[in-house]
Amino acid sequence: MPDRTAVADAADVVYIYDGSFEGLLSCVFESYARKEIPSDIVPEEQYELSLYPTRFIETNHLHFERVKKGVADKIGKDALTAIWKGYLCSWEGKEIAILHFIRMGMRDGRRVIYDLANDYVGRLMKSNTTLWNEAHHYMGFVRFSVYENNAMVSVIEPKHKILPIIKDHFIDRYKNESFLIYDKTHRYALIYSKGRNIIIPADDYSPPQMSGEEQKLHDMWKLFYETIEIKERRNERCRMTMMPKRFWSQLHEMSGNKEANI
Amino acid sequence: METSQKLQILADAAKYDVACTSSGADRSSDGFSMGNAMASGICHSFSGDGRCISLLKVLMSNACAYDCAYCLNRRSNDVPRATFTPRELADLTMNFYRRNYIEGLFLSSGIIKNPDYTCERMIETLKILREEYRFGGYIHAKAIPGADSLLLQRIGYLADRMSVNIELPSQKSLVTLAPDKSKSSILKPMGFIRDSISQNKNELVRYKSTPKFASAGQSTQMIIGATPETDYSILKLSEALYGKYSLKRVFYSAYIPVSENPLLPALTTEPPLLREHRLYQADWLLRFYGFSADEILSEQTPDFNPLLDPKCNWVVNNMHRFPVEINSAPKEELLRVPGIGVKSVFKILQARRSCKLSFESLKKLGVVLKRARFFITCGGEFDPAVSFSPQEAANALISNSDMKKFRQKEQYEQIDFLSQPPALPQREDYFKCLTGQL
Ligand code: SF4
Repeated sequence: MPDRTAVADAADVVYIYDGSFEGLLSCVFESYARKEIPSDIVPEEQYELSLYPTRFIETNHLHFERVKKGVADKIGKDALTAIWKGYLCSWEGKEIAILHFIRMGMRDGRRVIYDLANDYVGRLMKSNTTLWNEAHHYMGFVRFSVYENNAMVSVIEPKHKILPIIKDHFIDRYKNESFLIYDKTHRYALIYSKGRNIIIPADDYSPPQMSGEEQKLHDMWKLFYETIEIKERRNERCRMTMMPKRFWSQLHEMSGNKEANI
Repeated sequence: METSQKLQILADAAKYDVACTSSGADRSSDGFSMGNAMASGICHSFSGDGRCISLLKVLMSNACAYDCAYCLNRRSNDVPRATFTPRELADLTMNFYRRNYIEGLFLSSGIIKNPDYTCERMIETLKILREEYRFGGYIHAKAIPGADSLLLQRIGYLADRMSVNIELPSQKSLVTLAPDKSKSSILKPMGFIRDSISQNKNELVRYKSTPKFASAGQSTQMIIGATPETDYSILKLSEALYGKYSLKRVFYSAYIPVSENPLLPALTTEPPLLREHRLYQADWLLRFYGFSADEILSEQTPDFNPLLDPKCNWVVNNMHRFPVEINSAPKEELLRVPGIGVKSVFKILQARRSCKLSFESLKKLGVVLKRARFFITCGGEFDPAVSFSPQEAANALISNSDMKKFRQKEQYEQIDFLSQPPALPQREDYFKCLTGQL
């Protein structure tokens, strides 16, 4: 890392990066190199127009590795993981918060991650929880359809980039299967087959047509779902809280379910 | 009969059994098998009543030879009957598991012919799953009261969790309503499972390859409101079950009338949902907050307060123990502050290591102060925003949802001090009720 004791000035400049984690940490490197704190850091995709001058920060693998090592050594591996998860989560101002978090940590060391009362730290840690919550939801709500060649396919629409988080769980669960989970929101897919997995961008993907046998199983699940409800205890609000509507479109048991009326 | 038709009958027959969570077993796939089990439990869906669905919960059969008065499947009831074949049920489980619908199977059964035969059918199913399909997901099996202990043992080695339902919280109620069962036929398998689990733990220490016996422990269920037991006696029973029988969970199920019987509540009786809710709250206090049953209720006040959750009720009776200083109080005391839960306490303990906490920093930590602020100080000071009118203290203690439920006049008849409820009382009235009770 460049000299970390140097004081940096707030600068009227917006950093633009390619949206990758490597790109984000390259921005952090740049901020140290130039001894400046940009007024914002935005991914290329989201950049619209700014009154501030902009600077495009090229993703640089060496810079990325140096920041990574610096963080791991000075703030700890936990902090590095927290930053990565903070990056995977979608939240307002995450890049700037991560930059400040790293700067505080490089100055004050490991204890920074306990300083939850600090705004940047607090929000970063909260984003980790948000990400985990959604990932945990999807461990339950991912729905596979099985095709003739035994391949299993699921399409999801999460708010956050949870595929790297749920990856190990599903691989562990279906070790001898082949499956694909497509994230429609962020347009990339996790593919696993016989011990190997890969996460790749995929612009447009739609699963093939299901067989009649498969449809029958979906129907049986829906039947079970409807039967298991205790009608005397119907509680629409509770269901909506636990299983918000944004998940419904992918759930086989909710197909054909009309607007719930509360 | 088509599998889907059987599924409908046998899921319907199993649905009142609430002892259904898939947590507690942490097992990773060994490379040949399908499936894992996660310790924190995964909900795969939520049914219209808001309950988590994580297991395929069905009966092996509802063609029961017994005649328990509180049960839909009793011999004398006129309902459609069905029985899964072991293969059929194992296939269904695998198909659901692959599609990520479920974490595993919750298998219970009515008595087919006799308890031993029933157990054998269950074992057959579990063997196909575990040995033939190498299913590594979660299995919760009900021990059938009265079955041979060797059979129970075999189930225990195939399942992650076993349970025996107590059903009715006293011997007397059992005798009158479940003539084919007795407390000893229930407690015997419970004790047997406990001993097998602890013996197995010792063996596991000695020999690494020992198969695991019901590694996630055992649980039970009680029906609430079918019989006259008080909340206090139920809670004492739970406490003993956690202690003596090392149970992992006790579940409570509000009785929903299923038959016209002079010994049971009338068919029009609403299920006592609030009572059930309070029992879960109190149960939580027993397991995670270091409370004992005698701190929560007593012979003198044997029933829950409908307006205050059990923790707040304890607080109202122990005002001399407050306020508590956030920056120095030990964990046990923090846990007893109304509105502060296990997670918040954890955050406070962690955060106060690095700096002194103020009300502002508590908010940032995400600690909800609505109730708590009346009972805590930060650096010796109360929250300046708090004014201590009784009105506000009452507001702080009565949750909005409880208030609403009260307004809807749910089943509170059993509670004395509200036996003549005022037409539509305001919060002050509640507070008077409460203080009047002190
Ligand atoms: S044994 Fe009793 S409780 Fe169990 S299914 Fe038969 S009638 Fe119902």
